[in-house]
Amino acid sequence: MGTVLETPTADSEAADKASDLGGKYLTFMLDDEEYGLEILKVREIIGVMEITKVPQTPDFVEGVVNLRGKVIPVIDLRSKFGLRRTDYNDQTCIIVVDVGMLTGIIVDTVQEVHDITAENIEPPPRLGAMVDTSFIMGMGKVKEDVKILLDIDKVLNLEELVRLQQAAEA
Amino acid sequence: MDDKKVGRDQIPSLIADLAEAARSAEQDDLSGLAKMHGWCEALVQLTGPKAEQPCPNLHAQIAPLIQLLEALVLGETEDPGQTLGQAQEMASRLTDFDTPPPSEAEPAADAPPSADDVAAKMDLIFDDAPAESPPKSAETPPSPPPETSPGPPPAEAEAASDTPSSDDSEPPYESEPLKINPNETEFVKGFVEEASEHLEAVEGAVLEVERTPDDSEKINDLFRPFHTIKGMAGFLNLRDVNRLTHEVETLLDQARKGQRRITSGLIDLAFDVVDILKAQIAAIAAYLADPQDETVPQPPVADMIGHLRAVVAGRIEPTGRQPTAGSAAQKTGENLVEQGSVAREAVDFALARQESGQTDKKTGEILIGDQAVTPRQVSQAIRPQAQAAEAAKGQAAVAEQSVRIETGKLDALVDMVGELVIAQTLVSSHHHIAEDPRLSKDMGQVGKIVRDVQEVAMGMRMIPIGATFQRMARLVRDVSRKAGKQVTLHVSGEDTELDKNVIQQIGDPLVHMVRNAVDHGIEPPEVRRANGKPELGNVYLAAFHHGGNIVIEIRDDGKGLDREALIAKAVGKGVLTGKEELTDKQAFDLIFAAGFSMAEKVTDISGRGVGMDVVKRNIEQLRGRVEITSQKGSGSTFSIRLPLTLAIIDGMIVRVGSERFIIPTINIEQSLRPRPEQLTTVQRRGEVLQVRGELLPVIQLGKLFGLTERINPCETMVVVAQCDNRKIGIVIEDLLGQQQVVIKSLGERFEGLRGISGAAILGDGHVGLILEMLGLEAAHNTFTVSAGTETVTRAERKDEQHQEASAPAETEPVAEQPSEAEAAPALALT
Repeated sequence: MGTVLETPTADSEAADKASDLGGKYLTFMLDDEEYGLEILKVREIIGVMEITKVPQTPDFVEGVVNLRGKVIPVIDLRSKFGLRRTDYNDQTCIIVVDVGMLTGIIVDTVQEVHDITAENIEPPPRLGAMVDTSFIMGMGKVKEDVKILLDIDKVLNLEELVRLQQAAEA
Repeated sequence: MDDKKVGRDQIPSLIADLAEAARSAEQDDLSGLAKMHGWCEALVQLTGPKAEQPCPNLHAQIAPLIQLLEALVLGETEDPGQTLGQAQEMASRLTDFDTPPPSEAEPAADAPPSADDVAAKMDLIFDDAPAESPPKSAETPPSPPPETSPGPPPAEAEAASDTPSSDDSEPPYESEPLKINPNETEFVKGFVEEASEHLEAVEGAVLEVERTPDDSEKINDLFRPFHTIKGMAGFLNLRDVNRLTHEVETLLDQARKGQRRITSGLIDLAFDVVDILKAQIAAIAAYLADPQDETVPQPPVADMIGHLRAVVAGRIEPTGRQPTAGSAAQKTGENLVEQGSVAREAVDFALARQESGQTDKKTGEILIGDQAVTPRQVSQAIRPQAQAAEAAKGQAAVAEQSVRIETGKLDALVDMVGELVIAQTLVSSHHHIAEDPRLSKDMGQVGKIVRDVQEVAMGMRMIPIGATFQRMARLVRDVSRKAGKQVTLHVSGEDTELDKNVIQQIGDPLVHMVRNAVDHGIEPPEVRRANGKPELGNVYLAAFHHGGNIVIEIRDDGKGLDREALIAKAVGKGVLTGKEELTDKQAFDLIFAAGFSMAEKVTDISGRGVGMDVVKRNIEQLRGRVEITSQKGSGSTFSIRLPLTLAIIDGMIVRVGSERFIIPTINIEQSLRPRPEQLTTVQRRGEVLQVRGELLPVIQLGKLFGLTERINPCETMVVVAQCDNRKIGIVIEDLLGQQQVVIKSLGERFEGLRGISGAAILGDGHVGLILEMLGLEAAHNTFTVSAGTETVTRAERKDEQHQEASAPAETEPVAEQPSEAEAAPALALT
């Protein structure tokens, strides 16, 4: 469909993009909201282990862990999204994603893998100035539920970490 | 096929190689046979009807040989022994083919021919051949080389060509534009790497020859790398390199035969050739990295080749100076007479290959032939035919002496082995194991193997420091000549192994220090004589293990450091006030201050005062230390202490709050529990600790990193650490012990963390952060200024803006300027 409409309007581009989004998503819970993550970005899922804190980093950087000999950073996604922090329990997981480098993200629970077709994915809604939607790729509909599909590269943007520090410096 | 064109001048050496290989060939040495096969094919190409100068006679001889070899390799012969015999006979017949051996001593039927003999024959062969007789170099119209570098005037070369001798009949060498076949770039890259290594070997060998000019064994050692380079260059059609090495080989051959004395001029000449070759190879390397044009820019070689030819022909003396003492022709002659020693060694060698050498010359040639093994391996590697033949039979690959591996792969291996060790520790502490003696024994065995594997994995990055030392030998020679001094370099511990990265990075500081030792340390001969010392100065370069570190020591027996002069200079520069009481160590360390020159006068070699501070910084980057001891009048010693590898450090594991940190042991002076009277607070915020009369800033690590509240050092512990020339006290809660840890980078994401240089995986598999003293001090300095503001991390981040502009001055009033910071604070505190 998208190939027929070659006029480069903003809408058709968005539609094109949305049509590329179909595929498998790993879904997880975060403060009773359901999120999805492209399965291709996921390397593995591990239980929460002892995390070594790293000083001088933003709050959402939980620290570093040893992933079989590699030291990888771990991000607390609740903290990153400005949600209330909770204690970790046996449901809490670290999803290791590959965004150029391996990075762990802490989520409440991992749910399942859904195959979401392109027509069931809608562009990110406009939620007003209060909510930053830049790292949402789209909203995936699975039966009655809606999953927030994350652009994990944007979520874990290296520049963002740097920028945060610069903002604090400025 | 055409892209692999090999020059006519390859034929003699090919035949020599072939004959040589045939003598030692065994019917089941398939790779050896395959190599011979490869050479034969090259010869066929060179002599066949399609070649520039066909040589039907030779061609006809080779064809049956190839058939025999094929039969042998493919196992198609009924009696391999007999077939091999036939092949050997045929190969040896190639060498004395067509013409009787030249006037010289008649070689016994089984004596290996020298490349020169064959060359002489080849000239005859080609003179008979119908094709154009002049060598390839004459085909290009003579035109002056693009750049004429200072060298012997062309007249010399021309004069040489007037004389009717085989060498002189050649017209002046002309460089041809060099093109590298895109299919061959990989081979050429390999060549560049190998040739560079060989050139390093050459430099060492040249110095050896200079030291013991009578030892023909040493000349052989020098001959070998040149020969190898020549062979490789020939196969890759790098004509300039090939011809230049060929000429120098001829020259060395004369020396080897005792026809030429080893003079210092000859040595200089050899070095000059090495330099030109280096430039050539560098040019090729640069071209490979970034091919700009079709042709490779080549530094001029024509002058040098002309010069070498003139020297070989005896028209002129090798460039340069007077012969070195003790290398008189007389001795060379004697050496020729008493060559028993050489001959014996060679005979031993030859016997092992069912060979008996009679005269020295022949055995020497056997040696040369043997030394040519490397070019053969190389040539074979680049020879698809030979490879195909081997692959077809599924034989064992050629025995490689080394394999080049990406360091990334090695690092991954080290990572994995580290994990293996941790996993093994976890398993072996499982309670089931203690209950079952058999299991416990087996686990013990596994543990032993795992540790062995770890050791091997760690060792793979290690290379001996010898090659770096060899560069120093050349440097000492050059600098001492330039400075008009007589200096001998004594090297020991060349086999000491260091991490490859360390070796790469230690080169420059070493160059600097060795140069200083020669230029500033050793006095001119007159002064030495006046002081009652032998005129010949000594510089000692040593590498050895000491307490888990590698120590590189540069010692000279020169004038030593003048403590008073150093202090006077420091006062003159305003670094010191002149009132300080300095220990010797503090005084000597002044030379590491920026802008400080040891030399009273600036020479063109050293003494501009840039350097020692850079040297120190470089060494510290390698997590090493440099220490000076010196006695005025009798010399100085610079000791560089380096970690064995960059990948591992010895660390003290400490606990603060719930976190564990690693303090590199090399930084640690001592750890202590201070008495309350040692501690002084400043404005209730800062703390200083008095240790042995020195005042140290106290860093509350827990508070700085937001882990704990202030900890009372008197109830816990303080680690006193070195930080540049200053010391700091770090308050910790517990010392957990010392451990070697593998350093892991935290990655770009955490770049800019101050006080933390990386992470390490501790024995229980958890991550500990490695502290870095300078950054810690800087973080501490900015932190204490604004102590009291909100949370630590936030205060920390806010402070970074201050940090940029005015960091050193904030709490270090002594260090007004960064450049003085190194020397001043420690002094001001005493």
